[in-house]
Amino acid sequence: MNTNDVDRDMRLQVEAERAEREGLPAGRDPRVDRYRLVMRALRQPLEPRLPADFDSRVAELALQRDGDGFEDLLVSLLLLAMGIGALLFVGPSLAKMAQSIVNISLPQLPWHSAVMAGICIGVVWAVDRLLTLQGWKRTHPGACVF
Amino acid sequence: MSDDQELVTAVIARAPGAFERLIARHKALVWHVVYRMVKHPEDARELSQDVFLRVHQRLHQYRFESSLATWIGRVAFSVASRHLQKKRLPLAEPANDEESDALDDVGDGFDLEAACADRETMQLLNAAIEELPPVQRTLVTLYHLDEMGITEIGTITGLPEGTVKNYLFRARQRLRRQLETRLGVTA
Repeated sequence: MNTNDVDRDMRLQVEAERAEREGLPAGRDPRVDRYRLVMRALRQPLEPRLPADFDSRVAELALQRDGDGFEDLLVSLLLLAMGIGALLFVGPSLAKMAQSIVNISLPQLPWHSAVMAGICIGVVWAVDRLLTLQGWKRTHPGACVF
Repeated sequence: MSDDQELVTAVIARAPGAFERLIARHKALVWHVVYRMVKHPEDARELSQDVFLRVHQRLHQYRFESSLATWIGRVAFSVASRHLQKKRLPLAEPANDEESDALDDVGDGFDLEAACADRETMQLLNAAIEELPPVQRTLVTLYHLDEMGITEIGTITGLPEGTVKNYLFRARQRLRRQLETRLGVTA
């Protein structure tokens, strides 16, 4: 396409835009009118549209995510506290266990260490179950509600 | 305080109903950008949701340097572009200066109002719009349907104003050509 064609088309598009904006009558120049038709087609509303309840559902989801963030923080703090507590309680036993591993002999493993490990696993499992039962745990964090 | 400022402050303060109001005000724009970019209704709905969740999460970063609509439009364009890039779909096509037509020869009695009322002609134009490359399709919609200015469109898409004007020009020219082929106008 040469420069003259580009200039001519630019002029036609500007004229068509002005004619549409000012509501000028058609029929003066069919080339301008065809551009006016193109512009009218471009102004037509899009189909399909978003569902009617889009606003409320997305707003609800956003608020839910806010809550999730706070709950995630609480759960993290709880787990951290449990970890520190476990270290304080189990620390001496762990030290003993480390010593006994040095002189490894299965029948001599301290039984209370095994019990403490069992308690830790039990507590983690109970917290997980509790969160699931309360519906706090998200199954599909990014799932679309539509 | 402007409308935008008032709404943004309310959303950040978690005022009841504020975010829903924001969505209601800007969902048309987001839908236009996302649907025009990705074309697939299901994907577009999901991505529109993502756009608003992102807006909700990052609204505190909005500095009122542009209108809220432009800022949200930018988020929408970025989400949709990333989706297309992940699918390795081209966003725009390179400019093609080789095509030529001889519009000067056209002297037919084209009736604008009759063509506008003709369902088949409008359907053809809509199909031709759908066939435009994603970025051009989005630009013509933002310009003609959302009545946004070139500067705002440039901010939303991150394209220089000259490129926006060039894409708009070429898209309209391409649609006019398709229309003439349908009408059997001698080129």
